[in-house]
Amino acid sequence: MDDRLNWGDAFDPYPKLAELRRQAPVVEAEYRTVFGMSPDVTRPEGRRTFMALGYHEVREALTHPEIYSNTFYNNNVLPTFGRSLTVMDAPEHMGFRKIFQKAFLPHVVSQWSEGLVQPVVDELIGKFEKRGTAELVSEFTMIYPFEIIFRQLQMPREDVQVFKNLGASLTSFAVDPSKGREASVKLGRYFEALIEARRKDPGDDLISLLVQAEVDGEALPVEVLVGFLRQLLNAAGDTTYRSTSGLLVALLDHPDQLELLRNDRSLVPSAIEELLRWDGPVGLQGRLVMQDTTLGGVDIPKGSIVEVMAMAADRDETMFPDPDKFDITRKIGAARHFAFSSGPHLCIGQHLARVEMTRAINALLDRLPNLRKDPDKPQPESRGIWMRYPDHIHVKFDPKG
Amino acid sequence: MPVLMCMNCGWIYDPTAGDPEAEIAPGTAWEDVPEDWKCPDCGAGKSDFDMVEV
Repeated sequence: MDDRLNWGDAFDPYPKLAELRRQAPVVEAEYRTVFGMSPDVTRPEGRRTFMALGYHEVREALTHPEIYSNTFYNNNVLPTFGRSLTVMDAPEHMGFRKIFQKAFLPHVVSQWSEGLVQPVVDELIGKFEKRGTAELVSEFTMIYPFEIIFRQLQMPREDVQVFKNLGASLTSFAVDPSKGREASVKLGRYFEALIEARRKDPGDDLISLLVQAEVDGEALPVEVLVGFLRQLLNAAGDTTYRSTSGLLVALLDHPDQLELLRNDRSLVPSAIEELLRWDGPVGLQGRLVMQDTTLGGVDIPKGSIVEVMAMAADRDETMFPDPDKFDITRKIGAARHFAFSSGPHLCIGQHLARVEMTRAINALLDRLPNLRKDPDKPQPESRGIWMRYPDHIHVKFDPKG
Repeated sequence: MPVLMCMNCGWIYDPTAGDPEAEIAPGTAWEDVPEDWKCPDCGAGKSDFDMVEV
């Protein structure tokens, strides 16, 4: 499966990452080699690569963009998503970022919770809640965040399936970039037409909002808006479907935690944060080093690649006591997880992700009593490195009524 | 309820909590936070914060 070649299929990479981190918080290695994955064909040859594994080193690499640059993504994200925020550095980055962030601030997305997110969640659960069994990836997690995006964009229903297929092709970066570039061209044409239509006849959808936005008195460049929209499928869909799936797997594997959460929904926010720390959907970011520097006591020459291993830092025992324990009551202290990254490229959609996961987990717990793994089907397992997720989650439950 | 929000990322400055990681003690009023302080989530400056009704 292309996806697994791209994202990885390691079941439990954490012990290996911890072993490396205990050697040193920064090591000269490539994660794809460490975990026996096929090489990333978009990586330029001849560059030294370092893995940042320690909490402080990951934070430093993410919060010093003048040294650790997002131009790392010029070889993969730029040819596929186009001129998106991910490939930008200062000074242009922040001005554009603020425009897009405005549409996803916490008090803005909280308004979508009741009227947009909940109906999608309800419709999907309604299709299987009487059955007593379900496969929660194909019937729920893989659908709901994308459906929310399509409704935000007020995308014509007849375009949705083609759109989904093209979006999936976009992110086969490491293994089949030509497929990604072809999808990029097609999506670009589609979005340019949609942008023009909404400019002429604006509505109350996200695209209409963005075409009216300005940076320093000027409209957003079309290529930046198209880049954002291409990225939205991956950044808002792929991530949230995987984090929701991961949360379900974690709870099903820890039935005591599942029962605790079912009986005390005030723990939902901390359960979400703990999953994001313990087994978040995005394992790492990449950065290109712009000047000779030292990180974690290791000299890194200009032109090197740093693989910023967020998933390793999120289990750093010097910052998170008993880091390998999944504990939904863990207090959110000064140590922040890196599931949404950190610094200037911090996830714009994090607040919407939390709203979606909150609605999803509450509805599933409300409507699927005695939710448990189906012992007669393959067991759910979160796997991967670049992204982590289960391929399926077969469950049984006791239908209400 | 009005809150002080970083318009670059949505992080909210709560004066009762401060920002201990940056040695801003709980109970520190916004006007007493140093001008060179950065948002702990995204690194934006004080000038990127606005009062927002949530």
